[in-house]
Amino acid sequence: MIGSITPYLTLLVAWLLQVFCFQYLVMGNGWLLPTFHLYGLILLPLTLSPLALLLICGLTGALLDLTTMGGGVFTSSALLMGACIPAVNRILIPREGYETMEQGTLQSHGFQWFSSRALLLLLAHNLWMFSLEAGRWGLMVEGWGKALTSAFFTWGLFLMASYISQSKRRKR
Amino acid sequence: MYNLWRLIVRHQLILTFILCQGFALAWFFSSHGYPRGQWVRTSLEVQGSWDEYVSDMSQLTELAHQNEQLLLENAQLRSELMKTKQRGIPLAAKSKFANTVVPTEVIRSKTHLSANFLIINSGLEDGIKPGQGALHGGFAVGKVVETTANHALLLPLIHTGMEWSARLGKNGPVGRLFWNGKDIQIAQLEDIPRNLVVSPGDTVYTSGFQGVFPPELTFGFVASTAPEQDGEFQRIQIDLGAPFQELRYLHIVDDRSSQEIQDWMNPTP
Repeated sequence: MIGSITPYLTLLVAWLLQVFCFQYLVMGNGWLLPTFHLYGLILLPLTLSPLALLLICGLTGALLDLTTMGGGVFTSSALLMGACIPAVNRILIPREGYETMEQGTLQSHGFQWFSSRALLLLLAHNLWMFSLEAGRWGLMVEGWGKALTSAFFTWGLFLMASYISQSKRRKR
Repeated sequence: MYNLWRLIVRHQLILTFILCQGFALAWFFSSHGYPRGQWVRTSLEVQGSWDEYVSDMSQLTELAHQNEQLLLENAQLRSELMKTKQRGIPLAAKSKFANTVVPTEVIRSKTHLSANFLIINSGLEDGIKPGQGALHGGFAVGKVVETTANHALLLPLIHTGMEWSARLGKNGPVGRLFWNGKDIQIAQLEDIPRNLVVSPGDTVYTSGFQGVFPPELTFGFVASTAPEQDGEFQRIQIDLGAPFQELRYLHIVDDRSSQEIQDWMNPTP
């Protein structure tokens, strides 16, 4: 039972951290914008149905929009990411497939798999989010630049979070 | 009917995506330029107290710099006071157009977006109402668009969806001031006749026509970049006076003259 609720607890913690901490950590005039709530979304079970994934992503984004005055931008981007997760999972599927309720963690799948998946999903999310936010063609190229740098910044945070959770498990 | 149901079930994922994405985009496009309404008030209430806490924490590290700024502002105010006394204007004499000023503190600011916003820790209970203008050190900052009991949402000059009525010099032509979303200290002034000679450093004032700011408050100064010619008009780059990245204390101005004008324009029987 604990195993089955762990991903949802992770999502809750990641969402809370984004609302209460990471949303204030915007640096470089918006070139480094963390979206840490996505850490909870990419750690949802790999075998979760695509419809459930989509709805959870949409709900997470909508709650974030409501609390941070995002005005729908996080909902829209999280929905797009939710639609991309099954496709990315299929592309990166290991030879032996995924186990039921398995999480796509750094520890279970390794650095290369985790990083490729996280970066692909972060890029999809950020490119859509920054394009929407730019709102006009003149600002689009700068927006894509920000999407790229912010994706790498958030990926760095994901790696840090993964290593911290790994070291805690080892201590136990 | 059965076939339709089967079609829906077969394509439930794509249909759910389109439906949810449609809702999200409708929400985004209806609120992005000018966030108003119940969800904004809910967000202000939910986030307001936490924002205040975060603001207090960050303020601790900025105290020295803020003290310096307050000293400078005090000095400016004292010199203004001296000038007023020298001119023999009685300070107590208030015309019916005198503006009330409410001091407030910025508890959250976003300056990295194209649709930036500020949240202040004053609201309806402090006399803050939508439509009022905000100043920092005498420079125009933005406009209040939504209020709750204790917080208010402001749209600053650096918001791509806003336009401001500005006058070049105290007696010059009136143009449209807007922000193109790039440099947060540079705005653009349009509709200024091409034959007008503009020099770097010329002051750009509020016109007072919008009813947000009283006239003759400073937006900023003409930048050293050469104006762009656009038909009969020229587009001028303006260095904005308010430091948007380090805004902390603001003054909210209730422009009473604009209220008077509104009353004249819409007389109640």
